Amino acid sequence: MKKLIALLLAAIMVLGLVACGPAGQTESQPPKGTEGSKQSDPPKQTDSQTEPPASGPITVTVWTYQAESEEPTAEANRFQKLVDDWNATHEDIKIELSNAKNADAVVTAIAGSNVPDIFQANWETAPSLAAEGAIVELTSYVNSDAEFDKDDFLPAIWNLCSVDGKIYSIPFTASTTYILYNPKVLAEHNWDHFPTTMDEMLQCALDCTVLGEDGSIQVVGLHPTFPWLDNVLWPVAFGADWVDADGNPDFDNEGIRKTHEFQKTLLDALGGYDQAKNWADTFYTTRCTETDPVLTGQAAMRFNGDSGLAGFQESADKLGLVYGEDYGIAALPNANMLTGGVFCMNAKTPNPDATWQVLAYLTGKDAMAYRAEGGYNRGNFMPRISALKALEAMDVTDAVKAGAQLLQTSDLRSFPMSGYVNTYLNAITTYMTEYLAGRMDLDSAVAAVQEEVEAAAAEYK
Amino acid sequence: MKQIPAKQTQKTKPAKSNALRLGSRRQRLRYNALGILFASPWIIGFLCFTIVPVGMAIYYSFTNYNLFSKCDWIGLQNYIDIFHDKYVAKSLSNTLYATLIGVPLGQIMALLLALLLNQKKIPGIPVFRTVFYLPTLVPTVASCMLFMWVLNGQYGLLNTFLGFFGLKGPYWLTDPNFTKLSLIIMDTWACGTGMVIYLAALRSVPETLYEAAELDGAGPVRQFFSITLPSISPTIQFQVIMSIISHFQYFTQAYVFSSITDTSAVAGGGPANSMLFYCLYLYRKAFLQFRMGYASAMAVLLAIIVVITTAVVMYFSEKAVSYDAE
Amino acid sequence: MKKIDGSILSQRIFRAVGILALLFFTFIFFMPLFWMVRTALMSDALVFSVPVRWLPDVPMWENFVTVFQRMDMQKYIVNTLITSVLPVIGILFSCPLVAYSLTKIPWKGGAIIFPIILFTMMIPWQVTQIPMYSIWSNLGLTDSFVPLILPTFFGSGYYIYLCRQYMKSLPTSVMEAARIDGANDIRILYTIVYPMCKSVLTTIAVLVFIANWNNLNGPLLYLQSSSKYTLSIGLQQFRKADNPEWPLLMAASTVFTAPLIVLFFFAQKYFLNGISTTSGLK
Repeated sequence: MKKLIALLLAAIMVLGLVACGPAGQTESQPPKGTEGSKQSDPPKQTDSQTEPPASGPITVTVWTYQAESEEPTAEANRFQKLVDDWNATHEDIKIELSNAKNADAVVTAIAGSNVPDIFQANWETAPSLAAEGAIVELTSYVNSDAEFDKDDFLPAIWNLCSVDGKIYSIPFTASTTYILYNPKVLAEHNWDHFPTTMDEMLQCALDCTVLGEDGSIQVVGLHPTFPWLDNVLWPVAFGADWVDADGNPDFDNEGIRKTHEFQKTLLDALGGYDQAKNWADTFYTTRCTETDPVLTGQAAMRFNGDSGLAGFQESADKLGLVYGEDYGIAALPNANMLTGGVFCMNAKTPNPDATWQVLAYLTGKDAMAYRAEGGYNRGNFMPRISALKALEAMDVTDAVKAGAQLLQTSDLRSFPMSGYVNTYLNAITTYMTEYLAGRMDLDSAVAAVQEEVEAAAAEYK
Repeated sequence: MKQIPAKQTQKTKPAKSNALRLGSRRQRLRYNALGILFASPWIIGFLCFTIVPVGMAIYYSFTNYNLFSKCDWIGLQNYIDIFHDKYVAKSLSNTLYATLIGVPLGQIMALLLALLLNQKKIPGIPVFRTVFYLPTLVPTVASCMLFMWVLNGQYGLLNTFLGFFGLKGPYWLTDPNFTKLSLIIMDTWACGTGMVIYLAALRSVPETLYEAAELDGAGPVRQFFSITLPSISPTIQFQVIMSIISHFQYFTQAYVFSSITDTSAVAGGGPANSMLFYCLYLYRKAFLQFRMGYASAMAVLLAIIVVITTAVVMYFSEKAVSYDAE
Repeated sequence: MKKIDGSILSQRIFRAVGILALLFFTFIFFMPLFWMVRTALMSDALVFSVPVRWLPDVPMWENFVTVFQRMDMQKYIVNTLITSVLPVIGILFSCPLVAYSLTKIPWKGGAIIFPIILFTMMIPWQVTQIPMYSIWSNLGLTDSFVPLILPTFFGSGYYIYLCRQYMKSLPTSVMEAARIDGANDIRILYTIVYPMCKSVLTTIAVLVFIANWNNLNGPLLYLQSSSKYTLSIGLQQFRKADNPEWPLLMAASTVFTAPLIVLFFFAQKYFLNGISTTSGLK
């Protein structure tokens, strides 16, 4: 028995040396927001027809989360076409695309191997990946690649993709949130115009909320957490911030408090958190269908991501409703929130320059204009201004065109990026839900978030 | 810990010991070689596929491994941090709750259903068996969606049903006191695999034993306790231990459930973290915060807890389990 | 006399209760399938109306047509069969072999191996997945079915344990007799033990097939080429985050589940129809 234990311990020690091997290899310099060790000269311009290097073509692997489908306008197929076009005209670099992946598979792969070179990530995870040294800093690539044209992107999107001014990811979709509303319901409660300030919005929502005699919900003015609890939307609308001027977490401030009191007031007006949440769960799946609460008059206003706009208008058309009279789409009174999907470059990529060429191609002007047409010809919102203009010129619905325009003109803000974004968002969700549900008071909830986030931030100093 | 139960040795001892005495050393070597040969697939698999990941997990638990750039030895620091982590305590208590309630409930339900399906001379029994197994076949997303409706606080089936008895059902999905029960209800529904295993075991009990008992005048209840239960006791032990292990590692259903009911959080813990299970928190630490060293320490801790629990259950059950071999 | 009358009555009551319970549970357990098919046949808008509609007004069979158009069924089914059938062979080969070693071969190794087998099942996948992937990647076997199939030929703790429980109950005397007759253990295993274990082996075959058919994580991680993707991966296209197409998702799930239901229904005969292997032995 003793021998066995000794043998096992020895094996474990040997394994330990082996185990930290792969991690050790990439740890040339700690790339924690300092100058990336992978920075190199600006990429050379390439012609469209290229020669393969002596050792054979370089393979660049790309992984996305896009689901597989036989539908020709599916994003997965559009990316595949882009890749096929490249492979047909390039001999020196070949792209291998894998779709239908998810975040866990990506993390496993980049931790356990050096495939893929380029991968899709969630915007809130990319900064953590950067902080742990998993991805390459792209600032110099972006700045020096004239064809890439950094300024063609929505200016605000670079905030989403950088930490402390260093760019770590390249966006390939952009998304903001709109308010869908029913002018007729508003008119019934003496609102002849859409609210122009947040205070007006609160009043409008309270006016339009109707409870039945038994206290059940008849009409919802505005449900703050339908379809989901949004930690970014309402603070942005109120002009609140999550960090102070030095970038330290600052959750306990007036703007944040006002934001959450706003939500709590609305939930209480709906008969309390439990009843309101139940309503939200019940109607969750009707969004943008013909039984959407706004279209049926059961809700005066509700928020929705822009990807639902096309479906919303289609459903309204089927019901014979008229844009502007029976339903409307508006941006929030102040700033609007901005999120998006991003691509990152694996720090272990063997050929960063070649990888950058592929990444720049996939997020280039032509690629995005092509992808803007979207699934089922409904319209996809891209982070490039040229692509948004291209979308406006396409044969898409008014709602989608309005969405594209608003993205270009609105004041867009996003959640501040740092290595602890995930933890911050998690803490907000956990404690502020407790506050909204009435299980914690505002002071304790806000203090709890602050405490937890400060502890997380300290780890990243 | 001898595996050969008393009954067996009594009956075979004479023959065996004769054989052993004759060429004992040679026989033993031969049987050792044979044993290793037959177990070789597992041994090779263990050495190739299992020992490295498991060993690495144990090693990482003593480091600050972050998957990408750091892997420094930090000794017991992770374990100390775990001790002070309130989420570990919360998730452990959630997991224990789910295990203590879920394991007995699940096994009783599975056995009950197997007994119901073991009744004789019911026409179309294969149809019934298939129907009982259905919840296990249906994809998790579909059953979670269905349960969101069944458990809906105002319109759901369950609360409507309770309403017939004059009871006002709670908000199953949003009340922190009831969310775990919601999951347990969903799991008990999907006990098909256990049911099938119990059914196979039930059908292996020799008819002759029941016939003899009936002649002796034993009623169905008596037969159940003195014939059925002992005969399937090895299966019961297997099911209970497997159920304990899988409940301690409870993850998928909670993850899918929370992603459908609370779309604002990835791997969220539900209302008041009532659905934050140990492996869900571990997953968060490993895959979302990239604290793989810490997560590995959590895994080792979990393994120790499960080992102790299983050892205790095995110790007490090996005495009760009768391996009925003549 | 009285005793027998009483026992017949109690038997009848028992039987009636049993049948009632059967019907009650049937209703409850049939619900998910009913719900799935009902949702599959509804139009998008009416799926979740309040009050709940139990049946669609007009069944939308075209949802199934759409599903077949949106999914490359042939590819998915072939790949899924590969990842479901081969592991069955692997498990049926390796697990009884190892279980036999643990139970019927008189050596001490079983007492050491069995606890280790149990222990390996106690480490959660979250911490072993990455080193495991690293192994396969270093072997150059990612983007292939090998990581999904090969390990099954080396046994799986769960099924080894299940076989062990079953085999322990088998009478050793039969094997002893065969040994004395001069048969070697390999012959004993395959000609005597396997037939005796038919019911548990068929159970295992069905369970393994079903588990692999539904498995998403393994294929999603280890397969890179679209040509190798399985049904579970193909199902994800209906789960778009912002607006899942519930009727299509349910229709696809129905198509996905139907073969399993059929398999289970017909396989029952082999593992649940009273193969009394341990009864009536001399």
